[in-house]
Amino acid sequence: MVAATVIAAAAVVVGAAAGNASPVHHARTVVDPGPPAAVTTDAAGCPVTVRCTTSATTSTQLRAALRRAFPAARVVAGAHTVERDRPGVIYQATVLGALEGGAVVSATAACVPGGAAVVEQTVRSANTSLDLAGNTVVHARLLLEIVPGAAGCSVQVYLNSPGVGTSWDTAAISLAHDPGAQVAPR
Amino acid sequence: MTPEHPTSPGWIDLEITASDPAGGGLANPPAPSASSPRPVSRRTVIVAVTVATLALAVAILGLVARSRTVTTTTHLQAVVPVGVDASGCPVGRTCRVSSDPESVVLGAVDRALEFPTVIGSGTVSDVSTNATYRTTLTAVLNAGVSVTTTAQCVPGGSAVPERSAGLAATGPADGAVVVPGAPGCSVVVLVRAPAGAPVPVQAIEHIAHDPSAQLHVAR
Repeated sequence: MVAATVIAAAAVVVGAAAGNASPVHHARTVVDPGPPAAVTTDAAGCPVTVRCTTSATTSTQLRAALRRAFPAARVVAGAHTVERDRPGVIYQATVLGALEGGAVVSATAACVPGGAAVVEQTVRSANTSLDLAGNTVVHARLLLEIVPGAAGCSVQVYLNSPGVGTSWDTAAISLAHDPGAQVAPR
Repeated sequence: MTPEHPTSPGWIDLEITASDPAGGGLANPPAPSASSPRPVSRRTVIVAVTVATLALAVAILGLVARSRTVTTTTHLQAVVPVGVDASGCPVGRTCRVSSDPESVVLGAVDRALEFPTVIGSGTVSDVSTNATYRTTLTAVLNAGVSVTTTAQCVPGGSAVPERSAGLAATGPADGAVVVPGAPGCSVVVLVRAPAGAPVPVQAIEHIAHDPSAQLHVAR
């Protein structure tokens, strides 16, 4: 009977301690690193880890691709960024071409070292307004075509056609899909 | 008052008095005195010990349960830049393209070059956030000089180094000035001038270093 009393007393003591006890909370934050980060590029397409030279002339390969898609195009501006010590390594090239009827086409090929695969997309839109009668007036048709190349690489073609004409769309899409327009992967 | 009874041989006198029910009567025998304690049965002891042990076990379990350490682990996915496509749109985002340049960048060019003729422009912005990732415009000046200004931001990008081609005051000229903004952001001004044409070096430097020409994208 003494043993039962001692055990009961111990139960009371332990129970009181349990009543006063409270769990200790620890918060832990784990940051998953995720995939390797792509190298940041500047506004001229140069990776921040590379010393580049940027020229206000387009690359010969992008100019040739433009000529294949738009034989009558007039190149009005361009640029390309290369590695300073290896001029054959192109990170970004752009060309701006003028077409008949006031249309303008621009193409940009770029590669981002460590970049993820680019998704192909086609976006069509229009610059419009309403006239006094409430009719929609189309000022220009816009076409954006992005075609992926190697991982981190892609070509973007942007066509701005005045009015409702879409006669250049096929050529613009052809330029975007031209493998020769892609910047060579490294 | 004591009754008187006649005594006669063969008879026993009985005196019946009221008794305490707790003390027992004929049906309840009197409780044992303190000098002779009633023995506790073995079964009672076993039951008492068992109950006390169970109570102790419950108390111990309660103590263990309430005094334990609770660790809450939160897993966060790091924001890792995965690069941009050729239009300047971050991979994984949905962007739209406008033929209009960003007004602040156009303003910077207009101030520096006194409203040049813009022959091409475009702006890439996020469909859901409206954040502008890249805006570019090409302007032509007299004497066949072209100036292309591009402002870009790469969300989550790192700092961009400044670089300059060291432009001459008279053409031919072909070079660029890159000026960093916030991490991941920068402005590049490209100029091309034919031989003998005046190169607006000061205006180009002014555009490139104009804080209003920089884009701002939430990280």
